[in-house]
Amino acid sequence: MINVRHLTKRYPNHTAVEDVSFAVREQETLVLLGTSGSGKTTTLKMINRLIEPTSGTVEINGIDTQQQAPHELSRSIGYVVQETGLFPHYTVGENIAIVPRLLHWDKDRIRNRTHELLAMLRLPEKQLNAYPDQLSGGQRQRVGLARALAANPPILLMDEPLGALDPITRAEIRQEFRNLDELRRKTVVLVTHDVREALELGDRVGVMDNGRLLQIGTPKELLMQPASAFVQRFFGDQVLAFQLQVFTLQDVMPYILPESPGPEAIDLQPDMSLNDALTLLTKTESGVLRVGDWPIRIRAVDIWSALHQLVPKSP
Amino acid sequence: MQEFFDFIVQQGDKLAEQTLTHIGLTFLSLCLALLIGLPTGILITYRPKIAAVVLAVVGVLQTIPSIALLGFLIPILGIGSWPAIVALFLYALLPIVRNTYVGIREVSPALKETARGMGMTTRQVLTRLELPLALPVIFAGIRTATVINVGVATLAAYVAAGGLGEFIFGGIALNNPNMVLAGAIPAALLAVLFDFLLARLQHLRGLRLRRVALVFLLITPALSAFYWLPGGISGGLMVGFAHEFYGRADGYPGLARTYGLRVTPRLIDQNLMYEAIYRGQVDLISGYSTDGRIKAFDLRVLDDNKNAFPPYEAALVVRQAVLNQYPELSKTLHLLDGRLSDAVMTELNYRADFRHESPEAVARRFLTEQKLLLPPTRKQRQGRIVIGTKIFTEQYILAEILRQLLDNRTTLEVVTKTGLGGTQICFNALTTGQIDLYPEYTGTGLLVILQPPPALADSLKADREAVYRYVSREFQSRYKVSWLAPMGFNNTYALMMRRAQADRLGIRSISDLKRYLGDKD
Repeated sequence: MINVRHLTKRYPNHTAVEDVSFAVREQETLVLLGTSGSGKTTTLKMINRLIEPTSGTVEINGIDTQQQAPHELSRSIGYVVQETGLFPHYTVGENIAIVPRLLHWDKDRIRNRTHELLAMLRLPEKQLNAYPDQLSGGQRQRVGLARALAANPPILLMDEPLGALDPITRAEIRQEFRNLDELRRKTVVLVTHDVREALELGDRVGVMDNGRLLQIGTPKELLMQPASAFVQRFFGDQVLAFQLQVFTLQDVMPYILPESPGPEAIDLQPDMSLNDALTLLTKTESGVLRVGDWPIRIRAVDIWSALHQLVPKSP
Repeated sequence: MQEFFDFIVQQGDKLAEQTLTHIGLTFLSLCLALLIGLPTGILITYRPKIAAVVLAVVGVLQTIPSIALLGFLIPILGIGSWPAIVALFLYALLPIVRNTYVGIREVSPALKETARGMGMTTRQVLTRLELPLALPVIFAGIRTATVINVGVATLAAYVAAGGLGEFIFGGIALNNPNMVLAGAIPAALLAVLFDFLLARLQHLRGLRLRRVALVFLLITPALSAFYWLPGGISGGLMVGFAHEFYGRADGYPGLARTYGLRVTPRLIDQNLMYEAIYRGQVDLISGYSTDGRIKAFDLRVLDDNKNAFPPYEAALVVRQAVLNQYPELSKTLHLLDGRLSDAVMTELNYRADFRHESPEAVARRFLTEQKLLLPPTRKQRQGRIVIGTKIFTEQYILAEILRQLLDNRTTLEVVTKTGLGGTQICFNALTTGQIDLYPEYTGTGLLVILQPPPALADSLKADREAVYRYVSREFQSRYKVSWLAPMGFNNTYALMMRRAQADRLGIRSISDLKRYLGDKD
């Protein structure tokens, strides 16, 4: 759906983005992960032409974005920034209505859509007339998302959307976003410097450094086959935590010998993360799990040895 | 205090009229400043390079003292409403342009980018994001501009543009504190009131702020409509009087009583009147009978055929002790008796003021023409005499004539001490012996120094010689100061017209004027 080819942005004194190419499929979430100054945000802003590329092209549905006026292009692409991106002089309702009003929707349609979004994002109706500074950080972020979704754009660009939130609210909102059907149907490009967020939200993750795209792949691919020492270093000493978060019971099952689980075992789905599975194991007395209909019994120690075989050794 | 309230009650109509004119003038200029300043402030946010230049220019305008700014504008725009409106407009420009610019620049760049990221055009970013967020700052600027304008608008009375300054200028000219306060207090209250209202406006938020701002922008032109200038025209003649002349008992009120003359003048600074009549902005002014501009602008002084104005004959006042000590002094000074007629003095003033000849050169030429100078001789100087003057051209010229004459014809060492402020300062210097003589006017000696009961003053003033006799006698007995014989000219109030117009209308005297105006009514 989005096709980025040889995108480059040079400034007089430095190159922000160097020859970046990738494609985002329909309904896919691509996360651009990198430290600050890596060129990830510049890449994002070249997609909706907030920044004009020095060279290279961006195609959306096969059409070069240069064919369209920037403001018209932007209206068809949802744009989410940190919660500070809300207009402070507009109420929640007015903020959500910004793009629909630019598109000249009639009042009833805007009102219906606003209420729909409030319900979806679990925002109280009475906050419709509140100003952003009267909301909590998490509420502001939800309003920011509602604003981006308001006009039903097929594509959503998110620039560090959770950057200004505390870690706990961040995890909550992330969870909420993941569970939103409407969001799952969007094609999303999200920029973050938070590895956990990238691995959790991204169908695929592109790691950027110094203006270049170093590697792009699913979270599992990145963890199993990091293309370079830099990518591996990115996960740092939390690599184990990320592995437990990304890998599921299904991934480790090939490495565990089939054995009858016995009647005391707890039933689990194959797509449960190892992290969640281990948490459960420490809470149950038996310490035994059964996954779906598979004739398998899993103890904590089995997971550790399986994981050991799954991932590569540090160089 | 009671006198102040009496004055307010008595002059209530005039006060209300001046207050409305004042408000109107303030908002008319504010309106223009908004029309020009807001778009300018907005435009320069897109051109940072031009912004620095524009802000510097409006900043410099702001630093020009208000009187000087009016001074610059008068040659271009003459007198009346326009220079006042333009001056106020220029003052209001800086706070409005600067605050618009700063207000917009202070909107976070991240927000502006977000707005563009949502698909807003440059214009939409301006109207939906930048301007609404800049409104409190812009209103702070409007508030500053309004308060400045209320203050500076008092100077409008200087150029016959009306407003509360009429009381202030009149009060200062007449040394009437109640009159000054009657103008100053309402002006201060207006400033406080507008400051308060606009401060409240500035602290509103969101939609309410945007709505109130819109209402304010609609009200401003409406308030401007208060600005209209009453009066000025009488029987087809535009009349401009100095504040002092209009209020002082021996000025217009005396004139009105003696001749039954009734006019509704515009009030204007006395130094600007001459320029105004020369340019045809007014047709009849009050003035002083020996002013050099009478000649420069070819004005006709209307004959005061019924002696409405008291005599102000110029003569030297000298300490009697000095006269006794140096007999040659008296003899020499009497050479000047009657030699300076109105026409001669006007000519001398004209040379100094308009030909820019120094008082020294003017005096030398006069003494030479009058053949009063002897061939220079080497003398042994004995004794010392100090000549004082007040601060205006005529006095400087007279002092120079005296100095050269005494230097040439006596053995005295002559020193001048010019620029001794007003009458009271000069006279005190004389009685304390700091100076020995200075040129004084009979009317001033009578009304300012001696201050006889009004009945006596009234009975005296119709007769020049009676006034002279009275002041000489009283000065001698009270202060041991002698009035020498009058030098010949009478520098008193006078009504003046352009000569050409006066000739065309057949007006030579104030009675003629009264007849002309009476015919019209």
